[in-house]
Amino acid sequence: MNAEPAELTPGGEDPTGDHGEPEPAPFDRLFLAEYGRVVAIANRVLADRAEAEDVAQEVFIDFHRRHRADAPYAPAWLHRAAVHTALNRLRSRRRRERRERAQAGDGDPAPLDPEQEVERREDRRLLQAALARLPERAAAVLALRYSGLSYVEVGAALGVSAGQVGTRLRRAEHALRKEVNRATSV
Amino acid sequence: MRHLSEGTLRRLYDEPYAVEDTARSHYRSCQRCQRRFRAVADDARHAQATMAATPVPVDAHTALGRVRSRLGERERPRFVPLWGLGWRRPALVGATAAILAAGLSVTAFTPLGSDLVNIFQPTRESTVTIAQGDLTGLDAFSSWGTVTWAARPELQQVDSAAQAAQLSGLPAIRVSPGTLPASVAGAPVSYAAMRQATGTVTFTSKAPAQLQGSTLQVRLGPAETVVYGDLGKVGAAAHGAGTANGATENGIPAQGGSDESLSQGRGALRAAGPLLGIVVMDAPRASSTGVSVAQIKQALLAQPGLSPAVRQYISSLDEPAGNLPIPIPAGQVNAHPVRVQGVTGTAIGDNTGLGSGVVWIEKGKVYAVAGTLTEDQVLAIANGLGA
Repeated sequence: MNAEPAELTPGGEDPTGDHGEPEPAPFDRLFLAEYGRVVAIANRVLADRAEAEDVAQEVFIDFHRRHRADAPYAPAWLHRAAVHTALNRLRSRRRRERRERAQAGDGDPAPLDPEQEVERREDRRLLQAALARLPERAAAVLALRYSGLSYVEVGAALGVSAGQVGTRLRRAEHALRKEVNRATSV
Repeated sequence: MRHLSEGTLRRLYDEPYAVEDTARSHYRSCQRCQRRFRAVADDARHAQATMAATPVPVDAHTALGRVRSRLGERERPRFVPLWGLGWRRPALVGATAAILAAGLSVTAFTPLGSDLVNIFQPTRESTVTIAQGDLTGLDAFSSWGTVTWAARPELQQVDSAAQAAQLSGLPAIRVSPGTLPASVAGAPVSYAAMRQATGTVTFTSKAPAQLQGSTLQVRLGPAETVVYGDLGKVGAAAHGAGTANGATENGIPAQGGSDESLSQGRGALRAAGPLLGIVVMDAPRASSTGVSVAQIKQALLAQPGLSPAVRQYISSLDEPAGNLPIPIPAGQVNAHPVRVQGVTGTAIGDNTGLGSGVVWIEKGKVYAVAGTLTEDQVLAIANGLGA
C-alpha cells in the first residue's frame, strides 16, 4: 500500500513517556467520533450493515491518504464521501442484480420467514430503486438528512448553506414520493 | 412579507427554532403558507417512513483496528516468539502453534552433536488428546539437558506472499480465490514468515544414563503464513481470551476448565470476525549424536508418574514410522482423518462449531489451514492450495 499513516501511532504508545492515558492520535479521534455516522449514512443508502461498514472504512482510508486528520472540513468530507460511495455501490449493485436475475431466471431461494422477508425485501427494493433513480444530489441530501445530520452538517457536506438544504430536501422528498408511488402503481 | 419559500417551510418542519422570528410570525398569520406547509410536512412524513432504517450499532474501536490493518501500518517488523503462543490463539497463530508445538515437543522429548544423524522427520501426523492435568510433573524433564538456540523460531510480518516466500525460501502460498468463502474473501490479508530455527538439547548428568553426553538438534521451519482477517481484532480477542481463561504457560488449557472462561474465549473469537490462517513449513527434523528416537522414548517412558495421555503421546512419536503426534486439548476439539491434496490428513474441529482446521504432511512439508469456517470450507481451501 502507498499509505503513509504518519498520523497513526501504534495503540497504547505514549511518545511523551508519561504514564497517564495516552492521547489518541488525530486520526483515531476523528475515526472514533465520526465512524458511527459515516456507517449510518452508508447504511441508509445500502440497507446492509456489513457493506455500510465496508464503505465507511474505505472512506476513512481514502481520507487518510489525502488529508490531514485535523482538517476542519474532515467530518463534512467524510459524510459527503460516504453518501457518494454508497450511492455508487447501490447503482453497481442494482446493475449486477439485474444481470444476475436475467441470467438466473426466477431462481430466488425461498426465504426463511416468507411473509416478513418478502415485505422487508420489497420495502428495501422500493427505496433503493427510488434512490438509484433520483438525481445524485437529491439522493445524497435524503441519505444525509435521514442519517441524523443537522441542516448545518448536511449543508457542510454538500457545500451549500443550511437554508438551501431545506430547499433541496423538500424537492428530494417530493421526488422520492413520486418515484415510490410510480413504482408501486406499476 | 413575501410568502415563505419551500425550503423555509421544510426547515420549519424539522428545526422550527432555526427559522427566523419574522418567518415564523408570517407563517402563523398566513393560511396559504400553512396549506403549503401541510403538503411539505406530508412529503416529509412519507420520506421519514420510507427512509426509516434500524440504527446500526457499531464498534468503532474494532473498526479502527481493521482500518489500521488495511492501511498497512509501517510499524517496525514484529517478531513473535512462538514458544509463547497457545492453543487459544486463533487462525494463523493457532495453526502455527499447533504445528510448532508438535515440533517443539520433539525438541523436548527427543535428543542431538557433532556427528549428527538424522533420527526423525515426520511424514504423517496423528492427534493425541491431552489435558492440563496430564502435564503435571513434566517440568522434571527440563533438568535433563540444556537448550540452546542457534536461531530462535520467530515469525516476521511481511507485506506480501512474495516477501514471505523470499524470507522463508519456500514457494509462495497460492490460494485459489474461488475456494474462499465470501466471509473471508474481502478480509484484510496479512503475511508472515519464519526462517529456519535450530535448537540443541545437550543432555546432562541428570538425564538417564543412556542419554547422558548426547545431543539432540531440532530444526524447525522455515515457514510462511497467510491470514485473512483482522489481526488487530484477533490480537485483542486472543488477549482477552487468554486473560479470561488463564491460559497456561504451555498454552494447553485446563481440563474441563471454567466453562464460563471457555465461553468468554470463544465469544471473543467470534467477535474477532471471519478468520482464515494458512501455514506451510518444512517438516521439523531431529538429529542426534548417537541416541535414537527409540532410546529417547524408552528413557521417557521409564519415568514414574506419567499420565496415560502423555504415555500415549510419547509412544506414538515415530510410531508408526514418521508419525508426528499433535497434542489437542481435551474436551474442546475433535479430530478425524480426511483426504486432502491426495494424502491423508487430520481435520480438527472446535466442539462448539466455532471453527475447524486441517493439517497434513506431504513431501517433507507440513501444511495447515484453519479458521472460523466449516470443515468443508477449510478442505476446499486446502485442496485448492497451489492449484
